[in-house]
Amino acid sequence: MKSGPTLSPLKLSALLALLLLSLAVVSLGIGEVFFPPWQWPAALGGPESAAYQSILWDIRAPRTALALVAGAMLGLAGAVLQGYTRNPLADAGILGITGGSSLAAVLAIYSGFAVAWPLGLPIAALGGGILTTLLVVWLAGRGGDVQTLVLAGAAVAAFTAALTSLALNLAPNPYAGMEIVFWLLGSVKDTSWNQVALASPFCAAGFLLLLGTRRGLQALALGDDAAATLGVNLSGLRLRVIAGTALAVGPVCAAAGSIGFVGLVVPHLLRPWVGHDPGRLILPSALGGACLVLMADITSRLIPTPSNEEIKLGVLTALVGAPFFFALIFKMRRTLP
Amino acid sequence: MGPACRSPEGSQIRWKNPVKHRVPSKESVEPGRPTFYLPGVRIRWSLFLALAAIAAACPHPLEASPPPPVLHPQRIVSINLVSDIILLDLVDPGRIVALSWLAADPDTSPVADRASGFPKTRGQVEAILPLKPDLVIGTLWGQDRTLKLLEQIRIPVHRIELAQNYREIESTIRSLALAVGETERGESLISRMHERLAALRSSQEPPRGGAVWLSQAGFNNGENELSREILLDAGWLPMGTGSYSLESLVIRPPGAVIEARYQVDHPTLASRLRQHPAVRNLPAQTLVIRLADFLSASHLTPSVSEELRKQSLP
Repeated sequence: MKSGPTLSPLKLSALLALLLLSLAVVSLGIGEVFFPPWQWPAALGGPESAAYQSILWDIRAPRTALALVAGAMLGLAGAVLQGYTRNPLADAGILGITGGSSLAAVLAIYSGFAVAWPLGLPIAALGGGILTTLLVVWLAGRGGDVQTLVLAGAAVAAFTAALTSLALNLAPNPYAGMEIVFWLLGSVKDTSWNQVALASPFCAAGFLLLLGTRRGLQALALGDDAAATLGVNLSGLRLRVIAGTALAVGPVCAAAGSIGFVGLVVPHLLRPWVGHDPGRLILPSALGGACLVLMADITSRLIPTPSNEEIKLGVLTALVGAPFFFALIFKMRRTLP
Repeated sequence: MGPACRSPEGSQIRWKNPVKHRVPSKESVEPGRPTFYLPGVRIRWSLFLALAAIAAACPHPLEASPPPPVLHPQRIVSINLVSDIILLDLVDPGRIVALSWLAADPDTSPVADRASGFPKTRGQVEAILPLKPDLVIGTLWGQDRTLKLLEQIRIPVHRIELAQNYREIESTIRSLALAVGETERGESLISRMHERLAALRSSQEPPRGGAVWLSQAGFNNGENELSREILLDAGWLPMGTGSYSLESLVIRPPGAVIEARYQVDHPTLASRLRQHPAVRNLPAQTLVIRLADFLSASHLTPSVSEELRKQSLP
């Protein structure tokens, strides 16, 4: 397994970007109304151009963009967290960060905060993400090992899930309960550009922060002491990872609900291709995450259901991700003495 | 091996050796035996006790055949909004001991003002018992455990079906009327409902066009047959079944969007959907009804179609 890089990260990224581009075109072409790319010129110039333009620009494009941003952020955060904790089980969902962001977003929606101030929703989700990350890191302890960290994450995730259920119980509007449940399943359906625009600046900041951890993670792969002697500022790196993850994942949660397992699966699939180098994994994971979520979203539109209602995105990623998780456990059992 | 093995008497030392071997093994078995056996015994005892407990508990549900119905109940408790609404028109107020807490909430109940004078219950058995009811009315959906428990305490219960169309509303009213001993008033409620429907249906206007519902889950063609019947009676045509996607909304825009509003001041995710450009630019009239009028399928349901007809532009 520990072979040298099979592909240079640049080549791998280029390939993934190409896949992403074709998936984006497919995503723009698929929907309730049959409207494939080769009909675009005719339809957009035809008598009903306004309707088709609206379908393409108001409905499918923001949806595709949000799926892309969400997937990229989740894949990126997964790769960085796995590199930082040196644990293949780390993921924004498993470490409780998604749960914290979702909880904060739910509270923002039902307190009316999100309606009164549109920026309030992503900022609340961001705050929730940062708070839970700090809580997990504090629980795990300063020199805490990785198992403690994952355990702390699981505990915090369970706690935030309980608090979200409590919010559901106490929601002033009983219909809100149903809404929260559906929203928590994660979806990019009926997204508008407004939501993409609200999430993007935060995500961009998170992206840059996490991208900057590349060298640090490479050094950290050699161990804390080795990294310190190589001149890596360990507490600075920690801060970057926490802030970057919260910035990347929080606003995605606010816009699309919780989409699990992407950050877990994608780095795993791509790791052998970059020679198990956590630094080289970062950019390909972002692209791979975007591909995975786009694929899941396209699939959700294609599966017929009795109520004509789309299958939720988070359900699909969990259906793929959970068996992957099982496989991972079996693999770890084999390699353990 | 050697001949010593075949004849143990041959040498004392060699004879002793197997014995010495046997002794420690015996020692390890003998103290082991009781500890091995005791838990087994304990398990059997506990199994026996568990079976006995089950056997003791079993006769109760079997014994608890439903208590005999009271022909003309005088202390009626309703723990469901649908039965609250029907009951208010079916029996004299003096026979109602309590209604469900939703009955007096103007956000959920079309009879909130009339229900406000009655004591309210949230449907817990311990709150129902002190009322000494001779009939408790509830529904199978989410209240069946409560009703079963009441039956075990030998309080007569009546379960109503939640109707999915006008035919089922009719049978719900009829069976409830039978349970409270008011069959005649039940029939007159039903015939009044049919009169209102007939008045709606006699209108000679051609259908106005297609209409879709906007609910918390998004745009859809109504939850059930009743929501289709409501549309048709109001002069609008359903546009399909199940959910109605934004893309369909753009390519086949409906003439009207019907919104059953509930607690408008409480923000929900549906308000997010209303901000979507494809929805904002929709050239459809919006007809707003109160969710309270639409929520419970009862003899008052024709009022939804009447309201929609009133609001619809020609």
